Amino acid sequence: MSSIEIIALALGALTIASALMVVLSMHPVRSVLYLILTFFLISANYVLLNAQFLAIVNIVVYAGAIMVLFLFVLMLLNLSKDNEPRASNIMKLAASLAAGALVIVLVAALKDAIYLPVVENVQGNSQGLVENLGQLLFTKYVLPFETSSVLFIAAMVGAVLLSKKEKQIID
Amino acid sequence: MLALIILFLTALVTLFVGFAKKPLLTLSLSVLGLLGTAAALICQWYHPSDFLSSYEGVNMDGFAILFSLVAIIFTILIIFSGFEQFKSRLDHTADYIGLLIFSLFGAIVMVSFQDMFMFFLGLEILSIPIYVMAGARKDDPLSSESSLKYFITGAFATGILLFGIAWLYGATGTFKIYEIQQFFMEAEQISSLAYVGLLFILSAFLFKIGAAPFHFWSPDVYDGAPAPVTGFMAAVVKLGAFGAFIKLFTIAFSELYDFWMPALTFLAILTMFVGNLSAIRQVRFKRLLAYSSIAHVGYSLITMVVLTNNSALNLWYYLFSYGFATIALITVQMIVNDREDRIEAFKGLGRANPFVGFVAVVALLALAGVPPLMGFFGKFLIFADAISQNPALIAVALLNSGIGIFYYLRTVIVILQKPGVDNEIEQSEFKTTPLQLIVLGICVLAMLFGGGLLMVH
Repeated sequence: MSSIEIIALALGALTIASALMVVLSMHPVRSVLYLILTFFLISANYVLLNAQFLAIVNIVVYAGAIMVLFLFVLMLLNLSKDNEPRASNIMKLAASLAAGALVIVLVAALKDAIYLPVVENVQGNSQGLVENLGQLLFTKYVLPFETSSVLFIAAMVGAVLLSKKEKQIID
Repeated sequence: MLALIILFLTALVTLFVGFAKKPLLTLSLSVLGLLGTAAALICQWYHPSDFLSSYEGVNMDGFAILFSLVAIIFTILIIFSGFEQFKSRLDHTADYIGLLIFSLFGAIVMVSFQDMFMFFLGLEILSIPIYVMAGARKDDPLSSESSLKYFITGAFATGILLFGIAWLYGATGTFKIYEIQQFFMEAEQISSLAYVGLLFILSAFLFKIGAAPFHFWSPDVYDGAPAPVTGFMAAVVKLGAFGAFIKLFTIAFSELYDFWMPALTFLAILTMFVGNLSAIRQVRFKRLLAYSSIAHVGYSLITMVVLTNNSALNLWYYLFSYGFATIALITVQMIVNDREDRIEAFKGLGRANPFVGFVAVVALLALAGVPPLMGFFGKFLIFADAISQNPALIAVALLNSGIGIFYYLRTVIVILQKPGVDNEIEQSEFKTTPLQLIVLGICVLAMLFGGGLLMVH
């Protein structure tokens, strides 16, 4: 086993473990902290795959912006055990059955999976850098790139529409 | 391509014209833009041209043009019929119309995509404005609830979809739908990753079109959302989602037909029964429409189960006829304007306002599939196409149509009844606006004479 494979295995195990801890830990703030850890570990996986720019963006957007929002919301909500909605036992049973079936399907699929041969990239280590990504985005993929701006405008208009205070509500 | 640009500019102009606070100006500009988009699409039909030849992500072929034109017609009708409601919030009239146009943009991208990037972007552009619009009545808790419910379940479905696309990419190594088809044709053995990816994508689609067992959001969301938005969801969003559905499954997954056909057969039957049996017990009109839309999704799925050369056209025609009937009913619902949206409130509509009552009756009969209305021809095309291959499925579908006729006719009877003196429900005035009358007129003409379209194709 080469050193890269060992690192990849260790990183993968750590990522899965911390992702599990997000769901398993009882305290919401602790969950969020584990989530941040998960994001950092995912970024490390990206670096391992030669996607350096994606790794940085992942940290900036997810660990930076979105997690701060999460923490804010948690602190504003004042969560405690008493006001947490209780799920009935049937619900719990159904949820675990569904999730268990999903896990079985996924594991079975991964067991027999036929993987595509790995393509050596031409540009070597610099493949995932901003320069190459920008080249692609502004030439080959310019249409999806521009179309995503339509999505952002629509989302922005929607956000303003929803968050603007109405006169009727004030009085 | 030109059509998409015109549409985007229309949405922007609509938003900015909103500052003038002249609703009629906003309305006329936006409708003008939509008509321009339709004209560009028709030009594209006669003179196909590639705007951006280096990237094959979008292809405005005949299929895309037909679906897009119908989506544009529906959007114009909904903007007309909802204008009275939009106008009541003068600050936001333009935002409402602009968001609907943005959503239409997504629908057009969704029927013209050629690879997964554009497909995903189209889906998001289609959905996000609708999440917002469902919660447009901010002082109404039901509306906010429906918006949040739609957003959370919809975002979850999007996550599932992306996960599925990732698995599919792992199996095939490409995002383009024709290359995926090619890959499956040439592969000696198909990787199990592809099957899992297909299942994930399938469930995301079933959520978007509101098929059982992924339908639980739709009655609540249809009920809580403002009426024009409900109409938009039933007509345009469904059209876009179904267009993408049939495109993806008949092109990219055509080789895996034997794998997804049995699943879809079962789901189609389940959807029809869930929709029709639940609709019987409804007392609220918009919930009735929601369950009837679930039932109609079941009928539409038959076109996918039994794939023939005509499937896409049959589906198009069916959604076309369904959209007209639903928009007419939503408009009637806005005219009745009962606060609690009871079906009982329709009592006496036929006598108080004969034209509106007539349109409502025609629309209900069209949904039930009574000849010679357009809805009948839609059902007839689907059933006639499928009966030789899968007679059992058609038998089930006919049985379901029978159940459907029961609750549609019950509503028709309510409309035709005399306004009772003894009931406590106070009679509303059934106020109509000229624009709503235009919408009703167009819808009733389409439903009565839409069968003539069959002569053309």
